[in-house]
Amino acid sequence: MKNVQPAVLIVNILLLVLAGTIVIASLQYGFRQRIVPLVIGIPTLAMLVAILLSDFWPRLNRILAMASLGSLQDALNEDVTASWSRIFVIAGWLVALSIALFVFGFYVIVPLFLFAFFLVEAKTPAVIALLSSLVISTVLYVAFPYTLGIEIWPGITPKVMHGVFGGGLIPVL
Amino acid sequence: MIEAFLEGLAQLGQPAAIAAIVAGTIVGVLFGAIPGLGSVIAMAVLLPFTFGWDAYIAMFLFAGIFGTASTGGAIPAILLNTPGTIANVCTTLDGHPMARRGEAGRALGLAAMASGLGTFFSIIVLAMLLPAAKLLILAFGAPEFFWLVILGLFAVTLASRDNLVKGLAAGGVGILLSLIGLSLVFGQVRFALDSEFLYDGLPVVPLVVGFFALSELMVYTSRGGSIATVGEGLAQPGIRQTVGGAMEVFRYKRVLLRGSIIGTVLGAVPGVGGAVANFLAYTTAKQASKTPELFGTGYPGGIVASESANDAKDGGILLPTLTFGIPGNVEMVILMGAFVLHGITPGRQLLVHNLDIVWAIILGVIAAQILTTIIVVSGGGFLAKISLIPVRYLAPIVAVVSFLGVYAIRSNPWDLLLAVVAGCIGYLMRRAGFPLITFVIGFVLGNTAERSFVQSLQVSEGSYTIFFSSPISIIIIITILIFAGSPLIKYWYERFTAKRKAQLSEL
Repeated sequence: MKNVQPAVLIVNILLLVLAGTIVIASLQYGFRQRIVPLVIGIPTLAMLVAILLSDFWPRLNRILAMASLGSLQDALNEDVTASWSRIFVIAGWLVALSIALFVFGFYVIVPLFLFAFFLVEAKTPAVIALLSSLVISTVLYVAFPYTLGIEIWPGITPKVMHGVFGGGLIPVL
Repeated sequence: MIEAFLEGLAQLGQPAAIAAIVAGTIVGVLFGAIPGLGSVIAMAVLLPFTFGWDAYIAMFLFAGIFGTASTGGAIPAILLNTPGTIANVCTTLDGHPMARRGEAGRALGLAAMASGLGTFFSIIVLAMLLPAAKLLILAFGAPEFFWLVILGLFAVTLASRDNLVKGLAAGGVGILLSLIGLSLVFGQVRFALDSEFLYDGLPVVPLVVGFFALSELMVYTSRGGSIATVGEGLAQPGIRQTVGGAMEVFRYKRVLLRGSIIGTVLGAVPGVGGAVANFLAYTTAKQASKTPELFGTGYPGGIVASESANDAKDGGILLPTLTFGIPGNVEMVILMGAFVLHGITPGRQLLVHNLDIVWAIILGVIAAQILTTIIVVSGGGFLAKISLIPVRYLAPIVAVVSFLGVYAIRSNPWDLLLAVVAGCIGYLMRRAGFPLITFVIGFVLGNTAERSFVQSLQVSEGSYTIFFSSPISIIIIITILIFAGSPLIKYWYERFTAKRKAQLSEL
């Protein structure tokens, strides 16, 4: 119990919920429609339960560690273990970026995001951050909408400038 | 046959053809190098522009794109630990550790040359096999497809160096999630919770970009510094290092040949494609190596295996497309769309009436691959220097380009939010020791597995013996059992040798 890692526990539970939901939901379908969800889902659930229990039962943990060409510890020691506070900060930037893009669109948010990130995270002087963000944004806009003809999302705010800022229609979820 | 070959060769010498190949190669390498984009978007975007072009020129353009994207995909795989395409996943396992040791140029050289040689091998095989192609394709029925997918999952799990149980569990969840939405087998929507967003299933690009690009971004940006740690007395990447890396490929002739064969054979099996070839070649190289422990630590042989296989699939994948009109992957679907757009009938008629076009495509792939190898080898030193730029400058640009790529596929803004959720879950999975690779490959191949499984049962009228009745199925099953048992065999062997050592020391 002492060695239970929060990330392992959260992921285990998340995967268990996802797999369990699909397995249970598959029971409402006919035999052919549910055969693959059950054939794949039941062993998957069994493995996830075993992984979950192995955190609390060291003997099971050792048995699971046998089933590896490396070791279980190798997998856990993959160099991704930054401090949680830094991870939350970076995840926060990404979440904020995706929500801001959704609401205000690429044209407005990309230069603002680049400027803010260069200024706050990269500690770049304001003038250089501003120039860099404008240059990079211009290159992206030339490359995507104009050269490649890829349509860019304008955001869901009321229309301010057609196709650039606001007025995007949200697809039904 | 010879006349058609000469006609294709003559067309290749035209200035417009050369321009099309150069443009296709540059677009292919660039789109392959940008995680989340890849050759599918490039081909789909350019398809309408080719309307009205000479058919040869259009084919040269597409040959340039689909033949080079996976080589371009090796660049971010090595420098950023983010595979440009799904077929470059295993390149990250050894390419990125090399980049972190300051050997990015060497890794790029290895990848470029292995890719080039893999392509040449598969194209030569394609040219030789064109007449006898039918037998190869028809030998794989639905049960063989099903086992091939399962084999792919086992291979992937072993390739990821992670725990087998965690790998298989992640792969299982990936398959289950791939079943969400409209099933083309049953014509029924399942597990979609009455959501229009889920009607066609979870989109693969936001998931892949989230899992690989965004989760990696979180790791690097939170750590700070630059991707390469060249301040530790290791060589700076440069042209000499890149050329040296390219030449080093010839020290791994067996790995190269094995990877090329696997890539060509699996490429020829529709629906399997470069990702499985990549994983299988890497795993096989690891299993066959005298030093398997070096794989995943920055071992050149790992890059050779991975890149030779994922590029060798180009020749293999053309086989069913050009001979039977069966597209092996999405790129081939678009290529067939290009045939139709230019008045060429795909399928067996192609070999009868348009053999010159077939040769134009084959020669176009060869020319593009030569050009790509030159670009990556000569420009590898420059490209490698990206890894020396502090992450805090790269991260926001990669994030923005990833989101642009995610949105470009379906023009659905909800995909932006899905990508960021996938990124957070991907990070947690990595931190918990669940290999992302198995999850994604399960997700990508899940529908193929279900379709093959159900079709097999339909053919056998419900009898499960069909899965064990053909020699090909038996061979694949035995391979799966060997893969599944290898960790236990290794464990028992180590235990046995440790006991024996202890007994000897007691004596």
